[in-house]
Amino acid sequence: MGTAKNTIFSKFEIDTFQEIMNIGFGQAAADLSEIMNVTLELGIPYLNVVKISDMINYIKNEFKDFNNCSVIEQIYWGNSKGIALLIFPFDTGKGILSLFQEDSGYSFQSDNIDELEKEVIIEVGNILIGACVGKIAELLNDQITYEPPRLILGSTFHDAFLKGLFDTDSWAILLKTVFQFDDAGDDESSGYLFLINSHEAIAYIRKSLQEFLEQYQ
Amino acid sequence: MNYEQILNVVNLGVVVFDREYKVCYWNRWMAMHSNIQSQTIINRPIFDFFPDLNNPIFMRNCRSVLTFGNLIFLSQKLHKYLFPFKLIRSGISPMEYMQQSCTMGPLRDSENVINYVFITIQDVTEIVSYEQRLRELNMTDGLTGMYNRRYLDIRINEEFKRHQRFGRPMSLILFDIDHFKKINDTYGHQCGDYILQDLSSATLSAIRNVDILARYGGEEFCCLLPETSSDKSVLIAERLRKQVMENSFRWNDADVHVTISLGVSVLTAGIDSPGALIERADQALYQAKDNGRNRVMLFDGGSYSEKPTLKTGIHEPENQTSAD
Repeated sequence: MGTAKNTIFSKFEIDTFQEIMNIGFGQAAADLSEIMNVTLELGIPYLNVVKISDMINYIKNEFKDFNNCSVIEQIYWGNSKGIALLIFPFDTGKGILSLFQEDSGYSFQSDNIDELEKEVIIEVGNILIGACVGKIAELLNDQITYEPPRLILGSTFHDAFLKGLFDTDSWAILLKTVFQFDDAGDDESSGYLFLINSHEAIAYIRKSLQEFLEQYQ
Repeated sequence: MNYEQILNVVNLGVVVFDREYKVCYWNRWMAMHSNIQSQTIINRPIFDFFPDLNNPIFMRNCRSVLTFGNLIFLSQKLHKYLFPFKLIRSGISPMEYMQQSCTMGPLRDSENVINYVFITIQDVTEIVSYEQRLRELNMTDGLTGMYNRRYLDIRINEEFKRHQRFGRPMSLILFDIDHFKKINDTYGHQCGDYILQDLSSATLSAIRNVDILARYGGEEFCCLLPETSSDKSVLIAERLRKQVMENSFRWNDADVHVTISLGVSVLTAGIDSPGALIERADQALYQAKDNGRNRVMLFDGGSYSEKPTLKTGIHEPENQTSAD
């Protein structure tokens, strides 16, 4: 996989892209902390290039118990179109929920509590994804629109994942970062964010990386 | 071409406001449903007209849109509505306010800077009403109006998981009408249906709001009692028995005396599935039948390996099975 990464992007481009993600996620974390009134840390992003057909297994292998994970999937459109996946290990969603329930005015007393909890997790996930994708898009000088996010269980992810959006023979750029809401403590509210860009977006991203570098030359 | 014409004819609310929350655009749909004309609200803060919007969730979403340029999808399931619009047409829904699915997003000025927020509002009241009706149909028994077997199975599984996780007590009552076939043979099947319906009302009034009473099949019923120990569940079962026995079932000027037999099981360490809990209640119910009907039997046996222990409830049986 490292070979594919080095074939599609030069070492210099990979470093630049990682730097853009560092800046983008740093800004996103700072803004998110202010907007959502909780402390959020986004880990150092990691970039890889994988074949679309191998992507699901690649993501699954990142988790011990993927079947019990919750996945928020959101498609975004623009020159760097792709899919964002926010993945929470089992029970982490509850930890995140508790951060937003107290001062948000959400209260659940009905029978369909699980359904409403899912809606809150989707809504919070939407902002988290929007912040990270939006900041990177801004640095790549791209304008993005989003489809409504949806929640998928890890156990059904393979069937539910929108493979149709990409050509299975082509390559995808996969960006991974760990996020952690500090206020919840421990691992109660940490998860992974994957941003997957299709092969079609590579030309635009490469051009944008060049433009980004030119600002500093 | 003035594309604003489209915004004034679409069946969708469209609102735009700036960073100071002053309304910049208010389409005809919004004017129609709010009774606030565009010229009245333009350039005024939206909170002057909709003070309830000034809440942490709405403010967070606005800041998110203005900062990140993302879209916010406000689902009806979670928010019900953003703008409290009274329903114009009565009768389509039991809901007082229009149910809405809303989207918030950024608008850029001529210098490509995000300085505005737009909101689209979609009326989903009719869809929600149908969904609600379908959900009710899917979980209730057509004849008695009680919960049906499907819903009961879902809830038993949920409560069982809750028990496994938090160790809270849980009990179950299985009961059926004594000599129901004889009632049908004597008074006809219409009478049988009436008995099932009337018994449903009588028993529903004897349980708590948290309990799930369902028609299990034919003349058999099941009552799930979350957070309930064996003593309390036997008391509830006894209350059900008395309620039915003392209820006046009248059919074509005849008094039909109806009684029920009940089996109670309590979730204990040896029971490893919802099916096993039902099976224990079923065993207790058969024991109640064997012991003369119109009585409560409790199964409180321990593990699988032990012979089940069945003991009578807290009452002396009363000979009221006059349908015999």
